[in-house]
Amino acid sequence: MITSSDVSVKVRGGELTFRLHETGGRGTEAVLFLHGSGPGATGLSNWERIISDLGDRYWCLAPDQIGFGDSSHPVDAPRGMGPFNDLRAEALLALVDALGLEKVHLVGNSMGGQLALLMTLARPELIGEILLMGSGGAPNMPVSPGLTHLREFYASPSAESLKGLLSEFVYDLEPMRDTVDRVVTERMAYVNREDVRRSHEASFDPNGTRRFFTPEDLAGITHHVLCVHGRDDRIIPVDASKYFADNLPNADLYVIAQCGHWTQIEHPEIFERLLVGLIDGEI
Amino acid sequence: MRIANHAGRAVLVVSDDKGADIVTASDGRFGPDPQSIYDNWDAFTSWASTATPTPDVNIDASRLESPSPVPSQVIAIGLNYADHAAETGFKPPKDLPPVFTKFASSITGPYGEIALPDGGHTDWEVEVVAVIGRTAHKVSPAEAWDHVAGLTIGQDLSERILQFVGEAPQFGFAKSYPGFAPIGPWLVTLDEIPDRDDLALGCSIDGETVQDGRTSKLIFSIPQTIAKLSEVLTLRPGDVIFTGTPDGVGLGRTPQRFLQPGETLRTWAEGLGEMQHTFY
Repeated sequence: MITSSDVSVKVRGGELTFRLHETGGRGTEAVLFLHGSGPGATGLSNWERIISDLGDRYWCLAPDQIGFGDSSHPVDAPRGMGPFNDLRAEALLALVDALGLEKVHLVGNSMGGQLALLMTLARPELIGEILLMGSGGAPNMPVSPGLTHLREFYASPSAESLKGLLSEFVYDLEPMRDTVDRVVTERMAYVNREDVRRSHEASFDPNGTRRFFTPEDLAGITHHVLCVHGRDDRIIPVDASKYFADNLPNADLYVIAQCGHWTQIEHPEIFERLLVGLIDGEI
Repeated sequence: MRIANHAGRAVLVVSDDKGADIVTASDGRFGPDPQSIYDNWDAFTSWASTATPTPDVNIDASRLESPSPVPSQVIAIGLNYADHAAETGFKPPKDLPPVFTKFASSITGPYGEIALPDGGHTDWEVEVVAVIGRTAHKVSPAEAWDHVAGLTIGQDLSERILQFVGEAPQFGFAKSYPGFAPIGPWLVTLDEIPDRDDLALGCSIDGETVQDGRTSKLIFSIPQTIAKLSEVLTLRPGDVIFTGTPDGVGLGRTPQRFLQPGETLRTWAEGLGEMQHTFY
């Protein structure tokens, strides 16, 4: 049973509101699920299946990121993924504090992986285990046609275009066709909102700056990290996770065969076993 | 972000015709005085990056005023484009171009009517204007942009007879009649400007384009100008720098041309917006 509520936090002297989707509750390990940057993405559309399945084990928290879904869309958000993600990570840390958590595990998908790393660099003592899935933020990676499509989506923001983009997210479209269609319908309601568009354009401003994690940044993160990547990811290459696994002192790497960028949707059972194994200390 | 001075109050511009009053949006922390925004520039921009204001101001262009209405200094640069220096009969400066002031009483907003001095030859000069966001003294060109709050547009209106009547040119005095320093339509912060070192700028009189240049042709680029000025001056938050005008002014035309009563001057710069003034 997923419940959704609004939680307001103070950040940089202003107030931002998260739409927070959650299952489970206090008294179990808290896991913060961080969604990616696809057009119209929300906590629910990334994590609905996973947090439904794991609510009896953990307190699963899946907020819409700042600038996505029903969370706040600042009018003059920082331009570029680098500065905007700094704001998102500050807001997420304020959310963790507002929930009164002293320890939280992080699961970061794509842009969410970058947020997990930013949160960990800022407040290492607050963070438990970390699972990075198809994480962004590795330097010198080739820009795939799919990633270009994502960044430039609003040049022609149609359902057909979104379907084409999400088809790039999976390894094999056939078994995923119904899922893709459903997600397209869910996300188009957000895609068409003026505030969602404004936030997307701020995030992907071609003149904005991006943030890459250097080996020195990563050397300072001594947490146990599991890097998960679809072998056939056409958005972010598996080399990105290899880079993180090479440079994080305590990282393992798990590559899933016949899997694209949408690890948790294309192979939810494998993903859940990995996550439970990580949090329960079995891997 | 775009910050307007709307009827004397600081307003975050949300769309071309909607804004949010900064006092209301920030629960009284910033504003209403537009000039005070620059005094707390870092705190203001940090807050603004999280602001989710409800648009509560219908922007009426005729009520826009200068985004920096009472700066502590207005600094202007002459002859900062080679083609403009040539058309006015000067050699392009090799070292620092002439530095002068436009006295602050000449500042006006981006729309409205401006009186032509009797018997004068009033000329137009479109310029990109930089507004200082952090105190700058002895900064390098590489550091200079970090001291700029944003850019806006200016007209360095100039009465040529007074400017050249004496033994030495009267730059500041002849460029400071009431309304001779229109600034606006609003301040645009640098993150919103695609290429801050190469902006198209121009102006037209009754629809006829008279100036059409690019800031990439500045002899002293904006950061070089700020670095040079800061070798001597202390530039303070809110200070306004007119960075120079390209060729196409009336003085350099054959025959010469000056603004006439009833003419409308439209002034624009890429990514910054436009201003419009009618003369009487």
